[in-house]
Amino acid sequence: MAERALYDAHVDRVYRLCYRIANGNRELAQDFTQEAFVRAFGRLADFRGDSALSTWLHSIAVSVSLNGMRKVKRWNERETELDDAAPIGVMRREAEPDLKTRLRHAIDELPEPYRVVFVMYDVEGYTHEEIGRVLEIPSGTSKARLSRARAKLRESLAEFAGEWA
Amino acid sequence: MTHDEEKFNEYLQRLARELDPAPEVPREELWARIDAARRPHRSEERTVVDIATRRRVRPQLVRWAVALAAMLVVGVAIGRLTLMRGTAGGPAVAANEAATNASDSAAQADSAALLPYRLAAVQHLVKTEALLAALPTDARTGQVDEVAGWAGDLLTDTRLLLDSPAGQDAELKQLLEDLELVLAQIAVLKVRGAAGEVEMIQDGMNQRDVLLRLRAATASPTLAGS
Repeated sequence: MAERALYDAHVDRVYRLCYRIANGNRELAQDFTQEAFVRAFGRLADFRGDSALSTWLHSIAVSVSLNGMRKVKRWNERETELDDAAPIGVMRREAEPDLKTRLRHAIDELPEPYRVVFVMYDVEGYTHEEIGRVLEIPSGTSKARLSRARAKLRESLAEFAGEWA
Repeated sequence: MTHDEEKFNEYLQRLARELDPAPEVPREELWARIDAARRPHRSEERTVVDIATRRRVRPQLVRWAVALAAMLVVGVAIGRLTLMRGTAGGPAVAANEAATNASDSAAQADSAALLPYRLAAVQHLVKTEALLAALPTDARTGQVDEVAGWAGDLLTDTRLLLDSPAGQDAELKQLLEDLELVLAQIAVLKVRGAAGEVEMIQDGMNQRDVLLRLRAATASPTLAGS
């Protein structure tokens, strides 16, 4: 019952975080969420209480999700080589008819450290202090990475500048 | 940051949140998968620490469940032991029945001899109940070390009772052995730090109104009048 109580208290936010890091892939998000909780329950005996339980749990979720996405990327790269297809990458740059599609692709193309901070801050609403505790980085680093992420996204969306000007 | 950058950031944030709304969390499906994945590990986690030569401590993940069960049994045991005291209080009664039933008389004599141990057991159970009731409050006020120390003292008394004639009673023996586990786990909170663990114990106790029910049991007239 203790595990279920912990799960009920945190699953929503953990799942959404995994979903964002998995670029909207529901199956991957469920796999990552499952793995995060299984690992957390297995390590609960080692939790020393030197951070909030939620911070600790979210750290595990981020770690599981990022490792999972790296495996997915490596798998996709191998598949691409076998198919003798175009340049290596997770997604091909195809015709992007609209702003949202371009934004999706641009977020996916962000370097991992920037992408994680961007989805946590701008999409999921974490504060820089929360991000700092989860990722074990200073909040100033979180702010810097967000700034760079936004700058890159702005470059990618430059032709749509009229939308926000 | 320029005004244009601020406008872009606001626009970007709004667009990113609208871009792909997170789907509803499949809570039950996910829990079923997690629960299934955990089952093999739970049986492995059951043996962690050896208490003297007696038993193995159940893992942290089920500690609070043992504590809750022990608290419920404490309340029941207090009531039962109080009844046992009532049936054992009769040298005069034994004398009245001696002429017609020699074995009953012997049983009564044994019972009277055990009375001091049973009284000590009742007192010990009351103290243990108080400890378990105090655990959430002391955790909130940062006094886990005190509770852990108290648990260590009660653990010693529990083991002494188990070795005494009081431990011959099968039901009491089972209760004392369960309390031994619970007290041993609380006693080590002092060493390891307890924030997450006490939080789980508190959640479990609050969900089942355990303290409320135990206080009702210890305030019962049979115990108060003894």
